[in-house]
Amino acid sequence: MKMSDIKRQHPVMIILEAVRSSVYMLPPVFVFLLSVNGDTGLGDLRPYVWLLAVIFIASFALSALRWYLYTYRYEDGYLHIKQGLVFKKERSIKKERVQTVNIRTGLLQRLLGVATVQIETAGGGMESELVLKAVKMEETHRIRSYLESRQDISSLSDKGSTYQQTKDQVDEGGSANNAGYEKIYETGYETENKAENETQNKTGNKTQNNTGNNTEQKITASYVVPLWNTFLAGATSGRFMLLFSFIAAIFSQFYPYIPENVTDLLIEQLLPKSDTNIFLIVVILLSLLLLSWLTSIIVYMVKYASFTIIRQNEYLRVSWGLIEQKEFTLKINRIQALSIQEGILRQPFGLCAINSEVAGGGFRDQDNVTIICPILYKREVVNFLERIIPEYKMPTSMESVPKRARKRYLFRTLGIAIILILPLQLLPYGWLGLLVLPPVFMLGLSRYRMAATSIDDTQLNFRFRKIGRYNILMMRSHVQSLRISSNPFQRRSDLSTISASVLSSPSGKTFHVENVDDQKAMKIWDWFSRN
Amino acid sequence: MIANEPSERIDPRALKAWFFGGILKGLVLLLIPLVYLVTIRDIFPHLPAAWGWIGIGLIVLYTTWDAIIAPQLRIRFWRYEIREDEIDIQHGIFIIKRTLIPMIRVQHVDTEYGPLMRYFGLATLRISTAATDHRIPALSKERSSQLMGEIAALARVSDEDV
Repeated sequence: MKMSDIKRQHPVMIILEAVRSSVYMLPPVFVFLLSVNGDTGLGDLRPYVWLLAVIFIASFALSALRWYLYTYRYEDGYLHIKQGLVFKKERSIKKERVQTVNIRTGLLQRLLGVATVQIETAGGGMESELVLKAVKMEETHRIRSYLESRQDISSLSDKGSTYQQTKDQVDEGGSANNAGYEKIYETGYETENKAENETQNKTGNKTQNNTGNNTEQKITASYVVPLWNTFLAGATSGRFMLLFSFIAAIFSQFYPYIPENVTDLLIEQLLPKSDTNIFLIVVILLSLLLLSWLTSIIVYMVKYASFTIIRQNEYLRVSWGLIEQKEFTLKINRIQALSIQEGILRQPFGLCAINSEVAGGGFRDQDNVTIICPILYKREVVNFLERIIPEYKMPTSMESVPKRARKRYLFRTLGIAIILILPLQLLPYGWLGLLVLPPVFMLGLSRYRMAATSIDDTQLNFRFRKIGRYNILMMRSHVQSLRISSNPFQRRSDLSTISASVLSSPSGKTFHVENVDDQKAMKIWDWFSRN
Repeated sequence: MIANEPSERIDPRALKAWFFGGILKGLVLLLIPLVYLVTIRDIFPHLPAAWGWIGIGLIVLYTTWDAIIAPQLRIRFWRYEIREDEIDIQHGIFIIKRTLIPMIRVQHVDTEYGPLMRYFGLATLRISTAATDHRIPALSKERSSQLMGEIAALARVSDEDV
């Protein structure tokens, strides 16, 4: 097939869209009808059936029209899109401007063999994004490899087999944690498939530019998160608390409807000779907690099933999901900072997650970060970065904050806790609030121990603890501005807070390390300064 | 704190501008307790007058700080320096902040002036990077447009280097 052909999305889109829009249209229409002749009751059903038919046919016709009018074609390094009947809209996107290509597949879409492609360009807002709602799987990969074909992307038409491979790896990886790595391709410029070669020849001069920094061009490695790790991630995700409150709320609604003899029986079975209700409550709470914990693990494992990270030249391709599959492609130089995050539940197991701040595009998760790897043993991070993102290096040693900073960390952490606890003292049992002070003290101490900075040739590294522990790796060229600040108390003991800002859409993000020794801060300042 | 402070200070006329700005803000704020004392208390006679007087007292205190003391301190600590490769800013009253912005990271430079600033012939220079915004307040108009041109030129030159 020629690249410049005018294309439409898969006709299945008509059905998907028709179903979706009629589903959206139904509730308001029915509410309207009920309010019009609510008193006459339903009575004659025929007008409703007619109305339904009209709604569905109308939305079907509309969707068909929309499908027909939405055309796209790619040629000469551009992706052209045309749409609209009365208000025509055309858009051309230069492929160099494309930041990320996301592919999502819902359950229904997968049954129909289509996927949604999201093409993101720089700049915020809705306009920076272009969506093809339903295209065939092969076509999604063709579009993507076309948009990325400035570099040598090896054939992705055999993506199906890659997935197969991926699945096998997951099954094997269940026991051995380290089994995830595998070199998939050793791509050189010679082993490209034909379609890519065509476009390559058209943009030949660009290819030559790339040969300049060749060392970074031939990286191809992949990592699949083993099943066991995904389980651990789900078990330590901490989301069960949220689910717990949800389930508990539902349970409290249904509790009165459970027949009394059933509960009595349960109590007798579980707790012979129980004379208080407290035990019952504790048992119910614990079992609910367990239930929500297990549910959250399952939800997590389905959501992040077969999490795969593929590094190909200067692209990072991340995909995951069992029912709804998601996939995004990210140019490595869009990464502004890596953050290695050890949640409080994960740290005891030596687990962490790797997230990134991305300039434009990326795949925003709930905390507005782009996940690179949802779970990884801390000891594997060095290896992981070396293989997948060798541009970033885990610092081997970091300089901690000086001992005189300890009292400031303790004071700050405890101070906030005490302010929160004080009003509680007015309540009965308010003194129980004091029980949080020892853990908070430990937290403050740990914050002091963890706070550290380091610099090497190109990289600025921060380590700090909020609740979880963070390691932030930033390239010097990605730091937008550096700030050193100090309040009078810090100045008295020659300490200051150092902050580095990086670009992260929608707005920038600033990381801080508090109470750094002035001389260390000065060293970072000089390192960052161009003078 | 860091040795070798940035060399340049902001225009001393800023004191006047901040003074009048602060007084104006104080007068507007004063309307709230005055309205309370004069009208609302007439409608609801059982409301105590003390709140109105406390409000006035607080506003007077705040205005003294905002219009007289803070500007003095602010101008004492404000320093900036524009070098070939970077912009170095230091400001703050209690928390002193020192910021370094590499020239290549500068996305754009704006000058802004409100009516009061314009009356005193002052302008604020705003420097934006992709992630952060920085301001140098109260420069003389000529100085600020000169700096804007300088930064724009330097930012462009370094842009070509990258």
